[in-house]
Amino acid sequence: MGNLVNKSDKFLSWGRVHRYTHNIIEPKGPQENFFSDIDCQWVLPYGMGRSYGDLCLNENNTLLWTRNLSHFIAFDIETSILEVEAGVCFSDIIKFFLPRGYFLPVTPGTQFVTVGGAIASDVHGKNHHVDGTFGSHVLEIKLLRSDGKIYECTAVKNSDLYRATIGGMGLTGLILSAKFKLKKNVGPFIYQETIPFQNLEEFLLMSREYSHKTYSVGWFDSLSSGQQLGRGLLMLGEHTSPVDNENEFINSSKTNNILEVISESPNLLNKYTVKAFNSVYYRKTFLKKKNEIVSYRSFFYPLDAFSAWNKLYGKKGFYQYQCTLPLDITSTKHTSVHDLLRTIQKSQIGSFLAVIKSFGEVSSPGLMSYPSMGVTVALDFPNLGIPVNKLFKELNKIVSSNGGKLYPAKDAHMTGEEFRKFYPNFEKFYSLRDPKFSSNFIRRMENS
Amino acid sequence: MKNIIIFGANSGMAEALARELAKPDTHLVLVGRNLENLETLKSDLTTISSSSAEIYQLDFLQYELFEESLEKFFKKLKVVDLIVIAHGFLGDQTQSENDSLHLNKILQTNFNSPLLLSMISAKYLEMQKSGHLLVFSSVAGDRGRRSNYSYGACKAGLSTFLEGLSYRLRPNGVFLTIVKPGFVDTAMTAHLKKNFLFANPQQVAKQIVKRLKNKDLIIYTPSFWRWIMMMIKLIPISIMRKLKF
Repeated sequence: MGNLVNKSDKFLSWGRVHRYTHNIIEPKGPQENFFSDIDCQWVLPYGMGRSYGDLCLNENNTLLWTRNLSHFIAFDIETSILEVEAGVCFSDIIKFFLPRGYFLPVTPGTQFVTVGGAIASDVHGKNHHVDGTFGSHVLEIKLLRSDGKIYECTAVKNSDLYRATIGGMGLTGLILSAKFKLKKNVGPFIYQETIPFQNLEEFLLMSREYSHKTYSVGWFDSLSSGQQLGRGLLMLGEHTSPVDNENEFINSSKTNNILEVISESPNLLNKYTVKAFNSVYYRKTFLKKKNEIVSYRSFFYPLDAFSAWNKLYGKKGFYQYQCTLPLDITSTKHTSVHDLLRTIQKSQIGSFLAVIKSFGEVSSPGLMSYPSMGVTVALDFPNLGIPVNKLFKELNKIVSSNGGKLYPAKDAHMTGEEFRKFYPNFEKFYSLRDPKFSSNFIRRMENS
Repeated sequence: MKNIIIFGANSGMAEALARELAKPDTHLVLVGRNLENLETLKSDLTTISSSSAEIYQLDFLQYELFEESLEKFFKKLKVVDLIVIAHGFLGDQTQSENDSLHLNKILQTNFNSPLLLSMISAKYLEMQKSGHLLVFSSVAGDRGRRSNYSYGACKAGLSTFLEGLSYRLRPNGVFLTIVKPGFVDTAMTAHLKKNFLFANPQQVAKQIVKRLKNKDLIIYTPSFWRWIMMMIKLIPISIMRKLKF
């Protein structure tokens, strides 16, 4: 079967800022002459399009849409090792394995990512300080490169390619399948503890105090200032043991489509609505400590309940800014994180979601992996044009001068110079990439 | 144990349906042309559930092999609970107007082949006096349309045949269901421009399995197609002449 090519302008990233035309090819398993039949300069794998900037885009070139690489291959009950094709979605893994007491070793804030995408961005979750990134649980990757060969990559076999592919932004070849270990004896519920913190110092103290908890993430009010700078809520979680509760799994894929209806509406998330939301949210839930048992969906994937929340930012789309700043554990008073939050607060273009989390020490095998020891902050910004670009420049300066880094999966503003500084392994990675693979992101990095 | 045979198991719709049907107590016989794709599907189904599965290679244009294949399955499985016939070929209308080989392929794959398979399956199900036959037809068969009347005619003929067959089978304890999907986003329609009418195969499969229990003769899926087709059937010929769809 030859490659069926379609032209489409429907393939966007999650931020919906960049509107490009792509050729779409849907690979279905390894085929002979797969790459030689493609008559365009560059290709790039595309899964669910959940990265925010231009990492998953390849303007006027080809996207290898992996939706047909969606088969499960094998599961070993003895070792809990699962092998799946790269286009398998986290939501399907949960659907079929959580009822049997297994869960993903690491999950990002949405279950609608593919395994290939999770490896390519070496995603992290609320348990990073305990379990590291998703990539640190990947045991084997089968990679189809444009030389037509399939490479089996593990920590010992083709280990350079293995390390380049984890966090490799889809540029080392087409991931066909991967093996990784699931968490076992896990139930569909989470013991959730919610603890308010009055400011950034308190957050830093608390995340140290509760670092033994499996899941830990902070939500903060990006508009509060002064003594209350960085006030927010720390959410902690532990899995319950497996239960025979069918109800929890029924309709697990149901999402709310109301947001689809107002999809191309004007920007509803402006300064005023966000401020009102933050205040109400704070009053309602901040004041006391709370313990409850919640479903895995509400704990891990609150936003998945709104299937297209990204469209709330209107036609122009939005940016997400995520950076990590290394942190001297002994000081909590004046840190670069303070500078960062203050700059964001002053900008008055706060975001719907402001997340803060302490990353741990567990290192990833990925050469280009993003998470590293320190504090990470993530926020959305509507695409307001110049004011946002100006703010990002300022923030990047803080990140850069304090030894921090930015997350390519969220980025749309970083310069190549900054990128090479943030990622010292870049040269080595670049030599291992597949020459037929490219993306808007990497071209931006090459040309700046 | 529930035994299920799926012909055309690697079609986008059948794969999604097989996933819905794969339960710990089911045994699936996956029949298709491409062994490699069948193997992939088999591992998928046995990994996501603890169902068992076997694969069987068959070219759906080799009619002479139908009888012996079914005989083999029934001998081995003893009782078959469900037979699904899902293979199809959309083809290209314009090409079928100028290239009679292409037209013939459309006719063979969408009419002769599923009809023969249905007739032989019916015989075996009738002998065991139980079971369910599920055959994929299409909304395209409900009305002759300028844009796909070659494919549509096959599905119309197939539906008519199946309706008659169901009247023969039902008194003998065998149920027959004709599935008429609307637009489904699968490999068959990969080249078509997508609009809001397109459903994904997972939704469609889920709906089919849910409604299978009702033992209805015809299932439109997604179900709103029933109303769309009702309207389309009402369009006067004078207006149909002016429509290009």
